[in-house]
Amino acid sequence: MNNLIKIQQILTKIAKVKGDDLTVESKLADIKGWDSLSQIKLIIALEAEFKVKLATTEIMKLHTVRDIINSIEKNNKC
Amino acid sequence: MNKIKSNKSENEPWQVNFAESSPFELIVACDVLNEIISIGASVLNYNKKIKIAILSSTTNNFLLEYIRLYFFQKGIFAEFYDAPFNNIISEILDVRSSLYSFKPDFTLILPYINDIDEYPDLFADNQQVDNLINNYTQKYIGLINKIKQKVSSYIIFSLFVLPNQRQLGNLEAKYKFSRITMLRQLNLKLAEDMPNDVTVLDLDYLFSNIGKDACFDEVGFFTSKFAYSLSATKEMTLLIGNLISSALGDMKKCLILDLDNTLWGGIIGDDGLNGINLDVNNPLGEAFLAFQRYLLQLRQRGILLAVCSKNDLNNALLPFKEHPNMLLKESDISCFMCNWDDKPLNIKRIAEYLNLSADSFVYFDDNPAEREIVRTFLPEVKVINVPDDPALFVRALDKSYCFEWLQLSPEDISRTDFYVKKGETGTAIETFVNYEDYLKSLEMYGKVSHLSKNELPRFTQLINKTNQFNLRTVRYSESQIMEMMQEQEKNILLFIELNDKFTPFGIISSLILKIDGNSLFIDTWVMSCRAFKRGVEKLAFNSIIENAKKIKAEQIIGEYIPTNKNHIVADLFTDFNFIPDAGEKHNKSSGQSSFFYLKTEDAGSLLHYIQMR
Repeated sequence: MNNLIKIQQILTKIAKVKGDDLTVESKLADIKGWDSLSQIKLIIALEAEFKVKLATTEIMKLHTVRDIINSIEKNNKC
Repeated sequence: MNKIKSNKSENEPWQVNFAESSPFELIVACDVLNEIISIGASVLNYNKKIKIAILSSTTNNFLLEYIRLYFFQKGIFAEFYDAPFNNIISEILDVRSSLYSFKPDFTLILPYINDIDEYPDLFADNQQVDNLINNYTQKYIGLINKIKQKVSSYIIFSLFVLPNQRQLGNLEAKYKFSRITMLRQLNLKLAEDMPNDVTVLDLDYLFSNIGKDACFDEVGFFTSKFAYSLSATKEMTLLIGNLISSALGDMKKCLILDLDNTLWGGIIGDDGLNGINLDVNNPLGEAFLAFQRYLLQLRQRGILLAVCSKNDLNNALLPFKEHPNMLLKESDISCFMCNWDDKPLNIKRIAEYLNLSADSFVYFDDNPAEREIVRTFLPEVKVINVPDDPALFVRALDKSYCFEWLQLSPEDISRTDFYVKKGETGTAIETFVNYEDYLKSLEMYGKVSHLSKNELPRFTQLINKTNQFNLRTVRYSESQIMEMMQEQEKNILLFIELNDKFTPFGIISSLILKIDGNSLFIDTWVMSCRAFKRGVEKLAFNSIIENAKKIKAEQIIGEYIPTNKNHIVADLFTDFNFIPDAGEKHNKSSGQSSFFYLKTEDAGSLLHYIQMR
């Protein structure tokens, strides 16, 4: 299962958005009902699913699905 | 009412095991619960509603959700008032504040280390430091008194969590003016001066126990103002949840203990007094003794100790009476329930004897299958998830939060000077639980097979190890058994396997039947104690009859040779309608054997609840 699908599943759980509606270009802020609590849950979910620890600067830069994928892949390479 | 309760709830996706779920799994469960609550609370079932106000200077969303989830699993709906960030003081002093109109049942006050804005100067004298401490103390106590004036709420006040950073490094231990030392003293003074009806929450101890570094989440704090990590929040929830539950009357008062491999190493019935491990020079023995030492402490503070063990009562009492290293005494145990019945039934009996409800009990047993049976049939009993290593027993029990009371009184302590009850069987209290339904629900399946080489070691081991369910106590070596296997016209060797929903027991009974003319003689019939009271002996009996019919034996002969360990089978033959030899007196205790006879044609098939495979 590739990273995009996993991330779609996480976002679906958090924001009740349809996974298929999310593309790599989708902006988190555009998701209906997305708020700061959703953002926090996203970080927690990403850390649990991908076993990474995201730094403050990385978290501040997560605006789109592509940003998330890049961040995960960067952490997995290290 | 003889219904057996099961705690498997198919329709409630938030019923995750709180203590054993990861913080993330808990968030998922919380989200599901929130979703359902927002649809409309009428679809939810709860027995009780409580109102909890949280006053804190940091963000508490997850604590709040965790606590709501925790209580919802107990059938309690928790409504929250979360005081605005950094507004603790104005909330409390403003008479019109929504805190007061909320009318909370419980008010949780969580000060945060960053609230301390003034620390002593370096080299400040003791008087200066004390003044600062007094000022802070008076401020918080003043606020609490204000709350008490306006609202009759249970107040839980948290002590400060000391930070995981130090200006002076290790030196802070020495100097009273250092931040860490000042905070320690502040916490002591707060605890001391707090009104008696306020519950002091020692969050600093809790976090030290978990590990401070795992409790602080700097990234979480800077990005979202969450004071502590999710795993710290989870532990806070467990502690606060247990304290509030105590306030609501849901308190655990009695710890039920298994014996073998729980209080000592080994099995008293098999290993005897000299064989069990309470050896002070042995790591395992020491671990069990450390556990007993901790149990004595619990007893001292007013928690009742009870024993529930599958054992002969006299065997079970032996270590308490005679083992030189045993720390727990008979008089420490309020109820001794030792017999071969299954644990849920015995726990119900203990509850009746001690006049306590099932939800007052904590159950500690090294055997995971027994624990699962108790969890399934008595969901109100708190079952400790006992680790495999006895060295970790104390830790597992201590960290379970099950004895978080709100106060200690001399009456609590004297409660343990209760009557001591010993029981082999309940008397009129026999069936809380319909035993047949219980046996059926175990979903047992068994198999009787002829012995082959593969099973020889276990078959022989059973014969040589078993003392209690053993009619003649004749021991054989593997080679002797192999010889018997080869003489098929003279010997029938059978073994019985048993499994149930909870445990794969494996081979638990060995039989050696000898063909003697037109009789079939039961030379050996042994069964492992673990399989008592399940109907396996009936299965064995049916099999003996079947084999007798196959070889056209007219009668089946049994012999009972009493020992001081096997009185449990003294009446086995008469129970199965064998006729005792008229010529001899059926003497159970003299060591003289007795013979019993059953005509094959008279033998009926016995009912049991073991499915045959």
